[in-house]
Amino acid sequence: MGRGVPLALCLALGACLADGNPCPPGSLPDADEDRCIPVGLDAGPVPSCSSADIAAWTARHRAPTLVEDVRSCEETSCTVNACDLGGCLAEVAGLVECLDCARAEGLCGMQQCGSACRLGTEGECRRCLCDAGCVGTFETCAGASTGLCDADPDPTPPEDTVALPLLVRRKSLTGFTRSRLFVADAPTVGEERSGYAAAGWTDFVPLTVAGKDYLFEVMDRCSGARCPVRLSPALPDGQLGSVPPWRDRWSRGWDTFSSFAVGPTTFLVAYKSGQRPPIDEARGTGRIVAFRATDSGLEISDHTDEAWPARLRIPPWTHISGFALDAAPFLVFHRSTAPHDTAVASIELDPEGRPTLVHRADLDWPRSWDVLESFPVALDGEVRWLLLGYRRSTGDEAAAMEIRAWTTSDFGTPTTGPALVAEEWPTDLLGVSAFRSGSATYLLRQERSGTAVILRFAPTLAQWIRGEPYEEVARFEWGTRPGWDVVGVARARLWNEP
Amino acid sequence: MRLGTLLLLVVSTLTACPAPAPPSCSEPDGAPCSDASLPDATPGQPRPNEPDDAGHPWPDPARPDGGPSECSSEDAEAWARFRRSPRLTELLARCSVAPLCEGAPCTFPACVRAAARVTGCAACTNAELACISDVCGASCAANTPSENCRWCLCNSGCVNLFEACSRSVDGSCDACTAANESCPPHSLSPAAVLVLTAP
Repeated sequence: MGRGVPLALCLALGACLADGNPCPPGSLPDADEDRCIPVGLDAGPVPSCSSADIAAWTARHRAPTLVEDVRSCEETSCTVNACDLGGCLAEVAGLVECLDCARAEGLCGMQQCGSACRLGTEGECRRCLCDAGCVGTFETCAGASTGLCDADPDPTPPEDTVALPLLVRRKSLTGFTRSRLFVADAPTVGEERSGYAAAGWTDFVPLTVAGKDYLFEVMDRCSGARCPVRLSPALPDGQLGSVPPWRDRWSRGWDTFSSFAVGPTTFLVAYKSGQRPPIDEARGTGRIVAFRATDSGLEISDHTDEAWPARLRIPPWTHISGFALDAAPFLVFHRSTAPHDTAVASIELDPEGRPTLVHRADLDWPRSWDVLESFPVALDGEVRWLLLGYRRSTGDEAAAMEIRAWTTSDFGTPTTGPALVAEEWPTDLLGVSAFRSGSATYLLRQERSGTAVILRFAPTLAQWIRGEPYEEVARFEWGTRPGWDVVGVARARLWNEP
Repeated sequence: MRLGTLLLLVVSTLTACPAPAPPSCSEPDGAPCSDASLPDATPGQPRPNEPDDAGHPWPDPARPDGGPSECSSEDAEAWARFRRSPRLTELLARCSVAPLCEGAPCTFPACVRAAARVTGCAACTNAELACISDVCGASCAANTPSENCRWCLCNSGCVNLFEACSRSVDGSCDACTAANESCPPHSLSPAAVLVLTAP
């Protein structure tokens, strides 16, 4: 790609939307309509940036007045119809030749860092511009590195890992983030921390590696074909750390996630269901990333697609959830759209520790689930993995929830028995996140109305049989303008001792 | 037939992957089906044990046509008694969460058979248990009265599955009332469980 491409990509966005192109900016549908392919665009004239311009631009980013500069430029350079934020910032920085590149970064910043650079701190704004690739846009255009994103400009000091579950929620539309430590004795008490990240982060997946807890963050809305993913440490002060021990850029379209652990290795399963337009790889593509702690840090190995047998690549699946049975890890794959389908795979490790999925069983569920989550519950002192399925209300059926236990058939394959609990649940659930604290398992249940509820599961089977499988321990009204659509619990500890 | 078509047929025959065996005949060693069972026929056809258009149950895939039932009358009787138990849903829940039975492995079906005091009859009890889990999973939830679970078993063909497989009939569904969708646990003498031995 040539210089100036990011700006051209941004301009192409309008054209794509006008055409009804279902793909993200900078890409077009493949002939088989299963994926989007990045397309090169005419770069136009090559902008020129002197080393003095690049140095001035870099210095402006490091200035303690970055947020103030953005705010004042917004007031002076934005009208109802147009906004030349980048041009104004270039003028503030004293750039002579490099206006196109500054405008490209400004456009990216307005789209993805509007909240972080107007309402956040200088550090949050800088981090956002780096995370969202806005600084990268400038660097590509200018043909030079600023060094702004080589290391975090405002690192949080290294601290011990968090000792309590950390509930984190984010608005993908703005990047506004709130987090709260979960104290079992007083779940509604405690300070809630706020922060601003880039817009476009779409998923959180809790991971624990060698006793340290992280949130795996996925961005699927950015200006390029590849967006950032990172492993953010959960800190004892109730925030996510700003220095990821690992980060990468993945193609867009990864939208289904789960995790499991085998011994000291934690595995992240990622999959392209096609619910978000996939770029590069077709829908139905899966990958398993292994995280292992070493003396020098984290060792990460990526096993893209090689471990997936044909049965597990298609239909494609909409849900993947990990569970354990007799201490062995399994994954359940479910397709909630018609024709619905469910399969179970075991996970085998070869002598080098590479994971392979082995199709073990098909489950003949008569209905499909909109939400599916496996989690362990200590029942009468024994940890058992359960499966929660939730189905939204349809025309003639109320919204329903069932919880079943994973168990073994006579053939030694995983299956589920009849429900332990089956009842009506709120009409429009967005999702659930299970986590453990002490010996109890909790479920964070999020409704589209903005209500979030924390349930604690009963510790004895007798309580479940009596119809008291859980009790509500906290209720929050999170609001919906815009909705909190990215929710996760760091230190969920489903695969490790809580 | 054109040469290209013929080649395509040969290649596709050589490379075609076998369809995954249906759960009713999957074997632990990966063999597709046991001698006594066959994979599903063409998709869209009635599955084994679903009644055909005339209302006759299809032969059970786990048992050769017309062959002797592996369920003794004692087992069929014990299973019927278990099905009528007021603790039916509780026992199903206990076996799915924490299977307890003598010998290993103690699977969910083995635990239920132990609870029902059934010693053999695995194929037939498995057929009904699979139906309970798949079709009546919510009606037979741990916190649901057993008579409502039985209503589902009687009206969803789960009882028929067992009866067709074991060649027995019992009165589990005789007392069902549609008004409250329940089948009360009426007492039934063992003699009322009729095991059919003729094909």
